[in-house]
Amino acid sequence: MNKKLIIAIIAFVVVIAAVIGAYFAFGPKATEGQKSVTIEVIDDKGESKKYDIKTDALYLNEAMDEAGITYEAEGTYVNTVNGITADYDKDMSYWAFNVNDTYCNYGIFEQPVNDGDVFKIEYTVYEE
Amino acid sequence: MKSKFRILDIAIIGIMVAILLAAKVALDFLPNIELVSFLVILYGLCFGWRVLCVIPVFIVVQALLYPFGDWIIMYTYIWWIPAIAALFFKKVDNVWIWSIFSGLYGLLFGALCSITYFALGWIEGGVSFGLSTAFAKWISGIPFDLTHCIGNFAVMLILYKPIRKTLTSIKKTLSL
Repeated sequence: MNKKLIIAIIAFVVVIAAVIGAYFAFGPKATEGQKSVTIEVIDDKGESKKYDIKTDALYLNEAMDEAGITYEAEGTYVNTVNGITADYDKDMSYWAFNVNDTYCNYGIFEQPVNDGDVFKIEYTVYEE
Repeated sequence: MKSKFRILDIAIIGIMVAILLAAKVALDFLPNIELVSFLVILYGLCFGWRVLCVIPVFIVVQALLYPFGDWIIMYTYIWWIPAIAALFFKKVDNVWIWSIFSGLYGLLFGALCSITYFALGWIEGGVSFGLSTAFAKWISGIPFDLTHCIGNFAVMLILYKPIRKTLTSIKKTLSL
């Protein structure tokens, strides 16, 4: 094995370790314990349904499961909530996820759930 | 003056774009497992400058096929990186080196995409907002970047030798 290849392998391993380290240092963190969480789902007709739950869920998908909110996802992209599918290709509609009035930075499987969080899941049609 | 750009080149570029698109669409259902990086690198290594014509056509066709989004901004620069790397290191014929490069490219894909989020955040709320948006987007995507890294590394490791051999033989047959 030549010297350049060894350097390349070491650099590869170092970069992987650094990236994993950054994820653990700065990635989404959730607190354990009983948390009061509100999840509001606004469907395609604009009808709102609120779910107030006490949960130990770490991430939003777990809280949604506990609240009885059904969903389907392709990877991190949630296309169906409570049986209503938003098809962006068809009519530029999508499910928008907000936490405490701020657009969620993470997918539902990584979005932390903290005490007092208010989530809003809204059927939205993109308007140019 | 005789042009160096022949009809055969146009045909080859068209076929390369078609294969690239087919490979992308075929694996769309698998998040961050893709053949585009692999093919762009192999095109650069085997067909040289022609890959620089493949990239813009690929981007335009993608923009016509998929709904408009941030991804179009990312695509305007992201695929040039493996293409230019392949052209610069054309003489490197080592499966491990290219597997590591492809793996690193997959690993840093999210970081490279977050440049777009930095720019969009900067426009919306200044430099610090741009930085925090880009950082949050990059960090949240790391699990997917790791999948991308493993996928790219494995694809290159398995397919590099047979595909490079095939493409080199096509190049010789067509006297490219």
